[in-house]
Amino acid sequence: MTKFKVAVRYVLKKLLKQSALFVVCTAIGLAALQLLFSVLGYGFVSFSGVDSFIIIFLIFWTVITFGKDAGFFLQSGLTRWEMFLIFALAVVAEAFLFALLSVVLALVMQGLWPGHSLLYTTGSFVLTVFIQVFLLNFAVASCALAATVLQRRIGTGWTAVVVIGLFFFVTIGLPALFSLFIGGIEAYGTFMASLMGSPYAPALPAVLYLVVSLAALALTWLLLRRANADRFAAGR
Amino acid sequence: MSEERGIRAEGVTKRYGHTKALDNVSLTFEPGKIHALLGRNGAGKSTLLGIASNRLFPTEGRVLVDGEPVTENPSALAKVYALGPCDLYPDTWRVDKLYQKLAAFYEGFNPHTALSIAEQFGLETDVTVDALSTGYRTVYRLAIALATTDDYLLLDEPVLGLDANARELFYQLLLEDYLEKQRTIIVATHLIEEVASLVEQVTVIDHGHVLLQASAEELRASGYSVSGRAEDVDAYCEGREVLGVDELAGLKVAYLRGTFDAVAANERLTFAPMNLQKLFVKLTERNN
Repeated sequence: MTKFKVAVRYVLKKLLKQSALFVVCTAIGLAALQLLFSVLGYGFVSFSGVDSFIIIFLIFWTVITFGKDAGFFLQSGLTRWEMFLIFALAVVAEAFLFALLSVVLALVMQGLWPGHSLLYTTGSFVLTVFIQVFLLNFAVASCALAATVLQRRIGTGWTAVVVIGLFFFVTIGLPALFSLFIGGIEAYGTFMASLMGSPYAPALPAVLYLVVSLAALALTWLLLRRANADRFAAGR
Repeated sequence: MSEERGIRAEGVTKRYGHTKALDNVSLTFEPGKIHALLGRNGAGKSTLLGIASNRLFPTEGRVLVDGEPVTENPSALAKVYALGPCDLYPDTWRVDKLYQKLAAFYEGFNPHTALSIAEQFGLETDVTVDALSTGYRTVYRLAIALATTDDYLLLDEPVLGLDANARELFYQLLLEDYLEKQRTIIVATHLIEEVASLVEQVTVIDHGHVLLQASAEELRASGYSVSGRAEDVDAYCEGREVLGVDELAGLKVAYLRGTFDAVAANERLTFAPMNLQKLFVKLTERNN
């Protein structure tokens, strides 16, 4: 078996193991909360924070896995291109896994407690929702990967500057730019509203997430392709 | 695939900003030998090994392993194991677990061999890497390097932080490894005399240039030292190629190239074979 295949298997196995641990811990935590609320006499309490937990897990898992395994892979004789493919695959796999989990969880919860679904209230849009959640997860994980590689290349300080700069560009710079054109700010408002589901147009966020994901992966490759291996040394 | 074997650098230049770490370096490390790569701090040793193991990219030129360019080439990289100056393994992993993980990545790598080598150095492997002292950090990595079976083993400052006993043990294990696996070993080091008895080929680089490359035997035979009163030594040295001199209280030691001239010798002069360390020091001094 080639080192590439060994590394792919290693990362996917790690993802499955740690995802399972995360799911079990989250389930225990939520069950404990429900139990506590039942004891206190509040009955069943719906909880809408699972998505946030998943997003946090995706970010942490991507950052930590890259931090630990990038140097390990390079030291083990993998090329930067192979390393990029492995992490791109890992990002897709984690996005897929948690999109699947979200949908399954929603369906189960809806089956068990109709009207108290944790995530979604309707089963007719399962596929649409799956694609949307998958692409959202994909965007989050690939951005986390790009930011981690950026930190290895330019250091924590400059990465923070870039990330904060990007935040201000999207929240202030972009609307300001739109406002320079007639009808621009209205178009921007409509776009932002549709991202939040008003009106419901699932294709728009899906395309946006896909574009963001691909841009983040392209940036990751640009940053990785000529990077000195010492950038990925332990403790950097 | 080419029949050519060994590691060959072809016109390799590496620039860091305005500094040239390597300047158009071309050389060959012949297969099946133990090579010493010698040079002062900043001479370019680590850079050369870094490029030969795909850790660094050359600015110009290329390094070939058995005729194949090594940069971003999985098949050439599969033949090389490099122990570099800094750790690329996660320092939160336990040493014994790391050895087990490596078994999947290296054909022929036996975690039990690595554990046994670590044990010989007195390293307890049930601890995480970040809990190890500088010397033991070197040991855990040396155990990996010696347990691999890749055709080319590149060791950059392999005895960093090791005490004299551990260094002796390492040289003994390195020799056993070489005798058993007959692979090409390149040792970049400052501790010339310690490796002098092990190596077959010596390459000296300085300021990014190759100063010389020859067999250890040739080098030892290439010069000698003469010592005595300053005026006697000066008289002997006239017309000969002097690599360098050391002087103290009217006594002088001169290091010369060539073979000892029995005719010109007299009883007031003492002659001795050149040792590699002196040759290296005088060569690099002269170059500076």
